[in-house]
Amino acid sequence: MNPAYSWFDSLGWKVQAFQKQAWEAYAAGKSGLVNAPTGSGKTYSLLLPVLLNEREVAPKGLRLIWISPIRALTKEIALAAERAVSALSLDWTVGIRTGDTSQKERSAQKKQLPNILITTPESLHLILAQKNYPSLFGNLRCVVADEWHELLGSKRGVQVELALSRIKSLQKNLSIWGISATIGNLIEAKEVLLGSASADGVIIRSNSKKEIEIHTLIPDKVESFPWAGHLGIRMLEQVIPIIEKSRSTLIFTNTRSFAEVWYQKLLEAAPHLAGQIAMHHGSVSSEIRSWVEDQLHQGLLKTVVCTSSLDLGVDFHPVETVIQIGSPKGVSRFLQRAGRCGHEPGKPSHIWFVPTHSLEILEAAALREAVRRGFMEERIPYIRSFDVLIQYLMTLAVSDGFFPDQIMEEIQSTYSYSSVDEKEFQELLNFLVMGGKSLEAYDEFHRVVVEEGKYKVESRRIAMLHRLSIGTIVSDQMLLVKYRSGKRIGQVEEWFISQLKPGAVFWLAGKNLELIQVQAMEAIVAPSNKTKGQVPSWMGGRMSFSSNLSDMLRFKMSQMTSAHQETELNALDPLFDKQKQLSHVPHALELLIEKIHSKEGYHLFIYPFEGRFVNQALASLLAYRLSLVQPFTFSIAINDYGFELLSDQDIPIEMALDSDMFSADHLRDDLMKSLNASEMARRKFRDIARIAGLVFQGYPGKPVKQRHLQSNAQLFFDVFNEYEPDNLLLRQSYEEVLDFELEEQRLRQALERIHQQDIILKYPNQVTPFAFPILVDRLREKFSTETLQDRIQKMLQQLDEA
Amino acid sequence: MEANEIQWEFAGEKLTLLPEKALYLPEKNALLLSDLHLGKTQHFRKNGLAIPASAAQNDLLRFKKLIGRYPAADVYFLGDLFHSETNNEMEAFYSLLDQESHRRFSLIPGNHDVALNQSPTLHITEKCHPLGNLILCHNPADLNKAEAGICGHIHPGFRLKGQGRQSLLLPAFFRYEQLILLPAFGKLTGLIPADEKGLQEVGLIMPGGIRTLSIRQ
Repeated sequence: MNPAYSWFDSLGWKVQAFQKQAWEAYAAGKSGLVNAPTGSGKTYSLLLPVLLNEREVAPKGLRLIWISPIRALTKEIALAAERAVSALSLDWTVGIRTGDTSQKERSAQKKQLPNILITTPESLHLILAQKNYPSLFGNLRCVVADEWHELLGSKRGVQVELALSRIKSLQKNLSIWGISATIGNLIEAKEVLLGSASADGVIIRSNSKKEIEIHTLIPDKVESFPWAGHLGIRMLEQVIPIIEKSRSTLIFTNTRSFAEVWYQKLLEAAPHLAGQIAMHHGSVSSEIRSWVEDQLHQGLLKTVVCTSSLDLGVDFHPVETVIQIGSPKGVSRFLQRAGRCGHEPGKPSHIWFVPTHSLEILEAAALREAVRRGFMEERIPYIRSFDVLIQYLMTLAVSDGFFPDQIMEEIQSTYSYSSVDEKEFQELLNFLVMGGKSLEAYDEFHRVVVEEGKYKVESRRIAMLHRLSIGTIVSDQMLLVKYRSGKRIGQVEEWFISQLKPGAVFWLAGKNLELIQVQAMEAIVAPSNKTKGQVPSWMGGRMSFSSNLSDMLRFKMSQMTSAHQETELNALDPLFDKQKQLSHVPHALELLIEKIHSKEGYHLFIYPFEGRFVNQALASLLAYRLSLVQPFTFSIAINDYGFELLSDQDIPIEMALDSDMFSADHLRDDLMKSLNASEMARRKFRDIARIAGLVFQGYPGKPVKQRHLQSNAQLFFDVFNEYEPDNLLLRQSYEEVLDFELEEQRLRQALERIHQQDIILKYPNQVTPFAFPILVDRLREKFSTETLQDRIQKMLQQLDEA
Repeated sequence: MEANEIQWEFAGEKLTLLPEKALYLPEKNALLLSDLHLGKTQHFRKNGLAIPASAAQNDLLRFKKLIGRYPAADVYFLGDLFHSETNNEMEAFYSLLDQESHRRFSLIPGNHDVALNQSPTLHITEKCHPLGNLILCHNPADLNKAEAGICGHIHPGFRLKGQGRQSLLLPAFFRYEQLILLPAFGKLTGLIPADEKGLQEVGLIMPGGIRTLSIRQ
């Protein structure tokens, strides 16, 4: 590694302990996980030993695969690799393969892959969908999964596990490494990455700590600050001075639509910043995104409004300040964002938290407490995702075909599928070959055929449909937005465009655009002068508070009930006085329930302060148990503090409390039953059906002739429930809801806590500050145990009475 | 209250609305139904989308039961009878028509009924087909505004709202000044909330039957 030392010397860099350890571990043929934050030199901890280990100036074939979770990062990695290659006087080729890679370059790569390939999990699977793919990996030495913590908690992480299981069996002599920021379950992260070979893997920690200072932007008038909301635009006037004082600022919003709005409003309020403001999010075209990143690096932008699209990756040195609009929902995410600035050693990072409604001010205090205590969230890996496995088996069937025995052994070596047994695997094969459990007479199902024991796809059309669907793990059906000239602006979800008429104006990438027409999978637009436009809202998951943050929130909540001296808490006094006056402020050993009757119906508000997911589970559980007394239909709204059950009939909570509605007995059973009455599993199934290739939704930029095949996952859900209730994918949708949305483990703990709490039941005569943000939430869950007939009859009756 | 059938009068013709999502014209002894989308299951399966094969039989069985109950001499399909190209499900349908050769079956072609040939058992009409005072037509857009039409194509659903932010989307017959929309007969077709502008009444289909609901504009 001498050349590396001299290169670092020539740049005035010091080789850090963790880099040295990684270099040595790689040379010793180890696999493992490097735990280091961004901006710490983590890339070179693994890139350099691969380049230098065999002293080859110009090696043959693919040597290193570098997997990155987002496309925006691949360019940075390629630059870093090229810099090292040239500084070390080597002649390695470096290439990128992502969804943005041109068709021309892809064909070139088909013939000859670069020595270092930087790619995403989806694109790696597309390589496995190529004929003759095994020949590509003959010279491979190492695979690196960058930002592994980010991939870990998603199905794309499972895609990485599967690709690795295949590549490992083709090239036995392989090192596998991950790079991860600090998370609560690093050891598990290593186990997931390395699978059954994990025991030999090492974890190398960088130990570099960044100091972070958290500031809360307290609204000037807390009394008139809204009780509900997510946008926080009222804080604009207070945000502008912060931007002006700092050389360069990143403003993080939680959704792409909020980024659009903040961008527009900033321009309106501070026109002198025009030309120095930009926007960056996942739906902005890659050309614009790279331009923004370049400008940031060069220090030419005063501020960039962005979403999680800038959470990861190399740092922008000119950035001095980070602003977070609204709740970041987790400590790790907040720290990650804070870390995007102030990278000069010894200097603390400054992050401003901008609340979007009153109660969120309390979150700022909770976040600071969590950071102080050094809390880190865990990333829960997906296990037994049959949808991803079906997609993977199809991928192998499309390229060279596969022999089930071999592949079963390989997938059982992964963390995700180690518990899949022969019977389940056979069920999957049946699904691929027969489209169900058994061969039906006169059936024309054609997906995978078996020839001399080899499973393969013969129809070119099915092969094409499958290749198009590989990238769909994350995205909904997207339409490409472009000018008539062909210049791309970005992407929006199809359902948003479909509700617009030609001539309508909307905002995207900070531009006012008028819709001209929609053709094939493209929306053609023209610039518009109208100042008012609709903002596309991207669905995206609604995040939940982590359990850490919930703990801290309850802690801060309890501080509110006694004497306190903290800026945020003091600022909230007026709001809590109002809450106390109308209802009650619960301390740590109390659970507050509010019952209100309004024109809309009968409301029950309950505040466990457990985070959205656990609150959701509690709501479902309570809804189900109430409906054992009498059939009920509820509309359920949830936020991180509490939940609301709304019904057309009085909710007998007084009686229910007597019969221990919050017992942990029969929990799993009751939860399963409550799922049948709600739509959670149905919603999960939508993604699962898409990933497993049950629904084909077309592809951006391609005129789709398969219109007849565009179907809707909802219908599939009903049909499966009716005709094949034990279907693997259907079961998976229930399990995913239990594991990831209802979080049974956390729910049990919550129920135990509630058990020790006194229940305070109040009948406020108007909506309280706690209740308001829940009440106005329009994204609601439906729950019903009434028969369809009864529900229709009641609605018709109300209609007659109206 | 819901009933087994309801009577409407439209353009001087008597109509019986059936909860089976079909229309019976007693004076013409004709049965009208629309958007069966037969073969959709097989079409999906042929293209590798694994919808359970048994789902296919349901629509045919329902159709068989329906014509067993009404002695209609004429059966009109108002378009989108078949989902797409030839497949096994269609063959099963044709053989059912053969068994019912004492009736006359006519298809007013819809956008899905591509490249269909006349057959001895299934007569294919023009895009708009007169029946008494009515014009039968697949797509309401093809209708002359001055004529009273009965159409399919839309797969209409009616949104019923109630207290406590409840709502339900139900299949329904939609009646406007000059137009009646038929609900889609096929099960795998989905519901689209249809236009309520100018809507006069709906024939709401529920689990236990059908009832008329007047719409106040």
